Amino acid sequence: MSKANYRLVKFLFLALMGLWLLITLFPFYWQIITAFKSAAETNRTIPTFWPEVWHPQNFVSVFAEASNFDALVDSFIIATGNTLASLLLGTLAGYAFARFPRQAGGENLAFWVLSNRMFPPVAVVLPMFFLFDATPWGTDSHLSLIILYLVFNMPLATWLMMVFFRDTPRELEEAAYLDGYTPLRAFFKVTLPLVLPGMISVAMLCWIFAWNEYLFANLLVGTDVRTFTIVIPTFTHGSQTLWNLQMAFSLIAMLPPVILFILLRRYMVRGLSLGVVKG
Amino acid sequence: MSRLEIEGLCKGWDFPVIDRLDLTVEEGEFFVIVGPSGIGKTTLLRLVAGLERPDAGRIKVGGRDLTDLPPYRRKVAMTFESYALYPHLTVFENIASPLRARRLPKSRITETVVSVAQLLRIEQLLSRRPGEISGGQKQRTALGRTLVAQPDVFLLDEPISHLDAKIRHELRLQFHTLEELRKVATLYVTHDYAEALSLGDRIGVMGAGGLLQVGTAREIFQQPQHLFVAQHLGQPSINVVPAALSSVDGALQFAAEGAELKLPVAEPHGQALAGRSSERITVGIRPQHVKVIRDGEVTTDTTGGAAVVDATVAIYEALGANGILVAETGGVRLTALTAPDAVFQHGEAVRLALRNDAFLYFDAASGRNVMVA
Amino acid sequence: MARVSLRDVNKIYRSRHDEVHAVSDLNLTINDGEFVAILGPSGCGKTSTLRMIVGLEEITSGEIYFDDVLVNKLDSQARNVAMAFETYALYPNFTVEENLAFPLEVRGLPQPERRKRAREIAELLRIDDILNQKPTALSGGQQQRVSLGRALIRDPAVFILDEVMSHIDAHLKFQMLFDLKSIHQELKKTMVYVTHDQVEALALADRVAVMSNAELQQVGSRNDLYHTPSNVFVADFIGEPPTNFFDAELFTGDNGTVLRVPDSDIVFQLDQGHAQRIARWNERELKVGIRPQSLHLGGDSARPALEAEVAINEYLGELSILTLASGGRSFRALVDADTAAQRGDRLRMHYALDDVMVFSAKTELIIL
Repeated sequence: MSKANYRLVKFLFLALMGLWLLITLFPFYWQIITAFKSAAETNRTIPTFWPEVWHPQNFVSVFAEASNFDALVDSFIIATGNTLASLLLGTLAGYAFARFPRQAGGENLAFWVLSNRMFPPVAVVLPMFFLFDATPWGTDSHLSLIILYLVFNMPLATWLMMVFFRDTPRELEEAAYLDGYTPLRAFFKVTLPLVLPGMISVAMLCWIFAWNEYLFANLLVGTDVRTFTIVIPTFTHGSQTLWNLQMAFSLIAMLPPVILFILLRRYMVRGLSLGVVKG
Repeated sequence: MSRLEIEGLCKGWDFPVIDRLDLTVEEGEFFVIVGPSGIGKTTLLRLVAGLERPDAGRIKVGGRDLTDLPPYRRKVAMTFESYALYPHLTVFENIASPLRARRLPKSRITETVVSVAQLLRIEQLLSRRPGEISGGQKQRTALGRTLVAQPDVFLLDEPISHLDAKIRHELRLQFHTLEELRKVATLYVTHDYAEALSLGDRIGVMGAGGLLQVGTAREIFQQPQHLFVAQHLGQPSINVVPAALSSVDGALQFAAEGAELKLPVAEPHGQALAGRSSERITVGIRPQHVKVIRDGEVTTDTTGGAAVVDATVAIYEALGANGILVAETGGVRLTALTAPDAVFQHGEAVRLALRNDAFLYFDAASGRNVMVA
Repeated sequence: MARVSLRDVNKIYRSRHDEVHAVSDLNLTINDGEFVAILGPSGCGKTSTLRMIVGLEEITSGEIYFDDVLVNKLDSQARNVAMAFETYALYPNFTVEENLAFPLEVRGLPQPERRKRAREIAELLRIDDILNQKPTALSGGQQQRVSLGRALIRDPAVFILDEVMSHIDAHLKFQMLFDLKSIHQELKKTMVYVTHDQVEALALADRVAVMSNAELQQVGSRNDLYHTPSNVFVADFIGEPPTNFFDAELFTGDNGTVLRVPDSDIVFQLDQGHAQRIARWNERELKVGIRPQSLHLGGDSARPALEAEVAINEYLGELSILTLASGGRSFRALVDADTAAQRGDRLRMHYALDDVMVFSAKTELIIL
């Protein structure tokens, strides 16, 4: 390739990347500026691309109704509860699949577990409602969503943990047995520390899914328990949508996962590459 | 007394790997198992360690039956071929692991680990992690981890096979001199015959299914009971000449199959082979028993009792401690060991002095040494 | 075929934080048709050197010539270099013939021509009887020949082999070394063999280039490297078991000038001429090296000897290694397998004056 051609290709490539960046970042930009606009400005026929008057007070007024803050707390309880449960069950199941493939039902069962993740959830929305309605804690509770989200998060956790455990040499555990550790102590002393980066990434993925989920939350909870995702659409004034408040609230709701991600980024990268790169 | 006794041990998956193996390793004995890779040497160690369950047979240490005990109750220490060091722990913590498993007090642990590390000369590495140290240092750390455990039996799986030649020499000496290892029963597995000969008080040569021969280094090298044993020990490998025995004027000789080479059978072997006249036989000739004589060089009596044949040089390589010469004589290719500085040309005419009193004769069908009853 | 010359070649890997000098001022000429091995421990720069010759790595500074053509800027195809890897990388679904002909097919040669060339190369490598078999049916040695054949069929100017035997069983290795050497003798191609295994390098190559720490230490035949190593590194690296080294000082007494090893009874006799040569270097601290092969048991009692006590007698079948100790020093000697010496025996190990290597302790360069 000649030098001129090379430069042209490089230029085209960069131009394409720039365009792509613009498209993906635009909604984010729109969200931020909308969050700072007044309600009137958001409803202009000709939209403004920069707030004429900055309304930072939007971020306060979303909490005019105290229960809105509680929604964030509810979301946090559900996401964290579900993550812990997914991690516990996924780790145990993943370990069994990795170390005792025959006794644990083999590759087929492991794959079946994963395939649950591929099932379209909308198809079971109604059955789920009736199912949880029949439980002692009812539909409108933290527990119902914590359990329901296991349908999505546990297969993911199981599968990923299985991969991480497989990549941890069995000989390390065996060496620990010979050192005198019982299998349970060996697991905590040797195996668990090695898959910890992986576990943290799994936890992140589960937590973010549960934090963001809307469909089932909207269906099951809403009175005693409200997640932030079902609170956002409630920012209306009569028939008018208060875009500025919705955007402000969603920006606030974005903070916890972003902070989590920054704190755990080191583990995330290591954990997610654990399965890909060996050694 | 902590002797290791293995009785009628069987283990197989789709096919038998270990078939009715019996072995006793005395307290203080360094027993080396040598055999080709994939023959079941590691499986044997794993059975003794309790990492695999035997299909049949018993394993006892000091009279105590371990067969049904899990590994963490056996007081058996093992090093793995991959070293199996805990990557998230420091060298110190790796070595301390067996002591921590027993929940010993901290001061005791530190004291023991440091003294073992000094013994193995890795005391300056204690705060490093396994990823930051060399192969030889990893091996020493793995060894340290087994030493602090003060087990009844040591199991060492190919501990130095993957290291550079130089470090291998050094660590071999270490195995010779470490008294902790020489006090208890040790089972050492390797595919390298030189390592086995060097280290083993006794050596077991493992072939398919089990041990083909057990004996001291000199016994198994000089009197292999089986062709397989002879072939597995020695570098370059023993020359194997399929031949037919015949009696000419009352003197026994053998003729190589499909070639012209004919050699007399030496006196000490005559008797054992006499009954096999006109039978097929496999002759084993160690390369060091083939002496190359240059054209013009006089055959002195240093080759006493040797059969001398004419040959042409096919290949010659000067290697480290020796030269290796492949020469063709009467249609048979024989490998000989030469002095390292010799120079031979391809096609050069030489004579080979064969020490036929050191030849080995194996039954053509069974591979058994016919000289050993 | 081509002569390969490297002139003042440097390779520096730069990362954000530091620089790694992987190859430093390397000068090496590989003659047309010569078999040269580049030997060194891991991290010595041999792989970087090879990758620069092949064209997989940019040359930081210096020049590489194939014959008289500067190839610095040429990519590997234009250099016409063939490379064989440790893994044979044969296509399992192709027959041997198809594997051999594949590089020609890629270049669009017509079918009959491809067949003809594949058969020629197969004959040369003595694999013409297995042309219709699939690689999985072949032995390791045959697979290696096919892999070599596939590289050779393009008629490369330079043929490079990168650690091709490091995972082959010792038993098979000898045969494969012999095979590879005879292939070279028949083809007379310029071959470069990169390895960390001295047995392979010394067995195969006409000349061996020893590298360490990014620098070329010495280039020479087996005998050069054995008898006149340029420095302590080469003397230590080449030879098995490793060379015995002693820190020593020049000492002139009643019996003339000798090399004395402090804190032990070990004394090396010196030829008067040699003593003068060493003295002329004016080095106070010296390092003496003697190979385990150079120490002999028995023989002419008039010859100089080291006296020491046997610590270990390792019987190795063909020979034995004695580890002997004197004072706090220990050294090894190779002896006959039937040596019955036991721990504690006092032995005199004789040596020839010519086999004593003397180095400067400071520069580690050879003096004698």
